Amino acid sequence: MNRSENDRPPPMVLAFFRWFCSPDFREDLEGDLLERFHNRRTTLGVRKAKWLFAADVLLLFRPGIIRDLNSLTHHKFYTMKRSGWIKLVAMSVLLIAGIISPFLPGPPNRFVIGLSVFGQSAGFFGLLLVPIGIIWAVVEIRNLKSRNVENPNWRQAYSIAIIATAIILAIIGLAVIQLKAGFLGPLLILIGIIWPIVEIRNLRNRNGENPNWRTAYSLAIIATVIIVAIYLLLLVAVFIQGEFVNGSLALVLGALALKKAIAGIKKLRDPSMWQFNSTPFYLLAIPLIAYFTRIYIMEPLSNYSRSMAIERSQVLIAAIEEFKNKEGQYPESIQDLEAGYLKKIPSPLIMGILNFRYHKINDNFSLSFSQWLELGSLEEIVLYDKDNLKNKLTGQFAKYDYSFDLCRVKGAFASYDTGHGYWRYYWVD
Amino acid sequence: MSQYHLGEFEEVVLLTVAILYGEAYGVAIIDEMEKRLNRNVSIGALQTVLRRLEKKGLLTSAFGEATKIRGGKRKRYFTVTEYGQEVLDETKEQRLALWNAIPEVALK
Repeated sequence: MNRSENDRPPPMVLAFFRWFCSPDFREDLEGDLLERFHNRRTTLGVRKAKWLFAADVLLLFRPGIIRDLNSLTHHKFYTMKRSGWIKLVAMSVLLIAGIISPFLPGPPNRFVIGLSVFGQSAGFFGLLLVPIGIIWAVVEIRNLKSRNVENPNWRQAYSIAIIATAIILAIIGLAVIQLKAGFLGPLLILIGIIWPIVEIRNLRNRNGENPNWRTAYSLAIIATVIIVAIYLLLLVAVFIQGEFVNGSLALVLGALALKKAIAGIKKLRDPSMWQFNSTPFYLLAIPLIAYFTRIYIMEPLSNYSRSMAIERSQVLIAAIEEFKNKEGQYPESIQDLEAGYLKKIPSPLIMGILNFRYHKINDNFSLSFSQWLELGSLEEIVLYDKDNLKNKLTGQFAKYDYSFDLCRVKGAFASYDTGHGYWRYYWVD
Repeated sequence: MSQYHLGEFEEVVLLTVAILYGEAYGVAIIDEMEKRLNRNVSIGALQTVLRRLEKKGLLTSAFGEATKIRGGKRKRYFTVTEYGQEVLDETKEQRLALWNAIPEVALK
């Protein structure tokens, strides 16, 4: 780095200032910042001047100076600039984090279970949006090419869009293989029918500002209707489970998102407003990422969270046995252990596992916990019971035989050995 | 009588703009305040007050010249409006009235 470059204010800080500052004040404020930096550089040195420049910029981040908050956070429905791609990646990462959060270490939290269910739903029902996303993306890419005079960066955007589409199509191919084409087959046929129709329409309308606006407009409406239907179904499920606070919060957030989406869709009706639209890439990427997370990451993570919770229970089991040795019988509830056996009942320390459940059964006891695996419909109950017939089953994943299992869990359709002593897990739908 | 009551920092900013008559732009105001009052002033705090005073009609502003050290960005010069002068006068009279009302023995 040469000296003149080093003598400039930190470019990232300056870029941050230009991003948040209201356009009304940007010129004179930037001038003041640069003049102050120049003065300080002379009197205090470059290093200190840079720190103070950053401090000045941070102190300018306040109401009255920052531009309209909505425009700072507004999702650019019409453009797909570099920030659009970054947002897409960030949303994907958040989606994955939401799906896997119940299986990660942390204090028990009912909210993360709901979050995971929503995320997984995007990967299940959201696949319906994939064909819409493909068609829409094609429409947008075609528009990019035909409007190259007005967009000097069209070649760059065009290349990125094609690469992104190729990657997403490759992922779809993997999904087809994974599902043995059973589920996605009909959807691909649907694409095969709609795509030529779009092409023919484009051939017919070549003179307008944006010949494809009607297609994008229709696809946006269809996608919104599908998303709203899925969202409402999930909300009903949340309310049925008695989660009124989370349900109400989700309802309000959903209503706000819908309002914003409708405003965006309305603008699509104006052909002169056209700029490259990022929405189809969201429709493609989000469901596919959620789908693959559910398929490939859930199992190893649920194994991990199960083992962690079992390990955390060892102290509790030891205390229960100690109680039995001293008192001659098992405790009526685990709270009895707090009278001299345990300072505090341990928590499973997995966010999606709320607590350990204890039952005294004659001269025995069972300890269990549960975690939700799929879409809030598959519950895994992990049970410690000395009556478990672990040793009479062969192999770690021996076929479940209800008659062999003395610890019959109501509603279970499968049972597996955990590999941890008397612990087994049961799947209940 | 004016309806607007100046805060302490607002009063200092308004007075400094008046002192710098014709030469009051962001950096000059900060330098003047730091020199006279021996206190650090951030651009953020100053700009917030300047915008508020301008919005209330106590100050007015106009773009001036651009310089090289400012990266070619123009200065925004502030001047006190007639209403600003009225508010300053009132504030001064109120302060003086308060000082005059203090009994001699109270602040020995």
